[in-house]
Amino acid sequence: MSPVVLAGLWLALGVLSTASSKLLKQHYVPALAVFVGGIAALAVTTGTTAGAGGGGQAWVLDREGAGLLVVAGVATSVALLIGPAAGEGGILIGVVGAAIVLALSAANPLFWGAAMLAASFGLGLRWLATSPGKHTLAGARVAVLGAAVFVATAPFLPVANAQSVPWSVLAGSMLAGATAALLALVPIGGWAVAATRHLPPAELAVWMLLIVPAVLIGVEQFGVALTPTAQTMLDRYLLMGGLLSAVWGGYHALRADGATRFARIFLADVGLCAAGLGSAGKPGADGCLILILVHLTVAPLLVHQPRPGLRWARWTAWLTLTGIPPLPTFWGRFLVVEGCFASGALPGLLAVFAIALLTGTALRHLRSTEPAGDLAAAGWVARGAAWSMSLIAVAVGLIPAAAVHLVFAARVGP
Amino acid sequence: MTDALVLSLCGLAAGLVVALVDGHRAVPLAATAAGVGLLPTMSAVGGEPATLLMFLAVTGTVVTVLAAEALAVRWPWVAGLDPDVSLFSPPDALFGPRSARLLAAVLSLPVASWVSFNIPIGGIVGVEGLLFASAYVWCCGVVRLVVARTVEDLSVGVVAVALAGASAWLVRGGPGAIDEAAVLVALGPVIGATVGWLSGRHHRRRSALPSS
Repeated sequence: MSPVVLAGLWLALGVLSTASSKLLKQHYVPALAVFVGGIAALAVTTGTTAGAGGGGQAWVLDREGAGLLVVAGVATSVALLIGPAAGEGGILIGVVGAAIVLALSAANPLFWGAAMLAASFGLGLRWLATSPGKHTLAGARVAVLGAAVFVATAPFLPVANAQSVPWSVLAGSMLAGATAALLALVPIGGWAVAATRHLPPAELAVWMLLIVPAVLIGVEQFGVALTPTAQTMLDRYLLMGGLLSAVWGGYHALRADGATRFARIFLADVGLCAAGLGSAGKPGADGCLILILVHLTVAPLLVHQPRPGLRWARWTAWLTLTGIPPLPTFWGRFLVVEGCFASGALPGLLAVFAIALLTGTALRHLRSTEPAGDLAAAGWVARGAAWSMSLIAVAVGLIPAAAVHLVFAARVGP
Repeated sequence: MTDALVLSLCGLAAGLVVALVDGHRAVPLAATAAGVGLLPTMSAVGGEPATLLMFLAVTGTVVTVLAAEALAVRWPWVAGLDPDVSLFSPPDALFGPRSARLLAAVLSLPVASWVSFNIPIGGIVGVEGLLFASAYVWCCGVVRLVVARTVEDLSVGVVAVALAGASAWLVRGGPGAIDEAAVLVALGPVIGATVGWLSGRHHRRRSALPSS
């Protein structure tokens, strides 16, 4: 199966889930559709792509992208299963999923930009339909703006042979700005904070589980098309912008109430992922992959408010966020710190400070009491899915290198 | 007038329309303006195939808006998102949203001009004015996104960015550039169908309300 066919499948499943949700009145139909779309990525013929910044001609999904699509699809389906019904908006999840498939398969910067534009517009429309207001509009327009900047950057890539300094500076700064907008990094990440307060959790999960990991993977691949000047600009922004986002997010996570605490931790960890990508050497990028994997497993559960019957599954998921060895966030954050110290003392110290804030937040949450509720309140499907994701998160900590290799076909270590 | 000046003036007019057009026909109007304004640039760098591509993109956007709206009017009514209704009420100000857009469009002129004259692109290095139209329409599309208050504003911005991006890609050149640009301009009809559908659903709802 080619990536274009897979994208078509996501779109068709979105349409079908919307239609059948009305006919069957079953809230699990969109979750099932997204699950099928994710698993279908296993049937895609993978190849080697030159990356989003390369000069290839076709849609080629590499092994890393295929692994991400499978895990992200399953995670999104669990998030939809545990939370309230997605209802009519299933078609827009299909649009976002199809666009992400095409973005990860883009062997061309223009295709990458076009796919991200479609994904962010589809997501923005879904957010506005679900929760119309000033804050969701701000989220939609900043995300679409980021994708628009990716489109504008495409004609300037590749710049590998360019001697022009303005060209390199423009390409590097535009990529940095677009990345900041879509990943909600400082100084333009405020929209995501507002979105976490005003959007239903299942809507937020689509951004967390489909778009953010795809952007992190895609930005890493832009490097092949940049001059040293442009690459340095992008890396420095990712490193310092990511670390400042992590510290800012960690500080607010520590102060946040239970309702928005996980979203703040997520934003801080996205900052650490960006810092890992921008840091010197391979450890930072490896740490980024581990952190992506951790959040793909715990976010479907923790993005929702406490629900009766899921207390201990949630407690286990929160435990994995503490960063205590051998839990998975320890390995991810440790590798990011290693990469940051390789870039300098200040980035390393900032990373350590951010991680201390995140650990304190997770431990504080573990000490608080979530409503235990009645076990029967959450259905057995939701309980099974929640426990599966929590235990997988714990397992990632026990075998981090093997887990990353299994999903992304990447080797952790030198 | 030189050819470059004509191309730039076309881009300037297209950008101003993109920045200022309002109402429930804003998307087809903006797509038509952007298409006509970028057409000379695309013809200059891509010849007849590029002209045909832009013609199809504009026609496709206009037709899908009208077709989707006509279809939606006949569909059973459900509550939904109205693309023309502002999603929040800003405080009264001396200058309205259109004045702010006009000011931003004027400020975009030196930006697009700087890009056009200082950033070499593809195999065409230092060609004066060739990138101006694309850069200016893109800037005006971004202005619509930044100050958007409705889904219609967002849609106008996305369509303008897509058409300008495709035009810039053709200026960049390279093998298969027209086929690749076609992927981006295909967003125009898709966005048009979405907005037309939502707009039609809204009109259906308004006509269903009892007259008082």
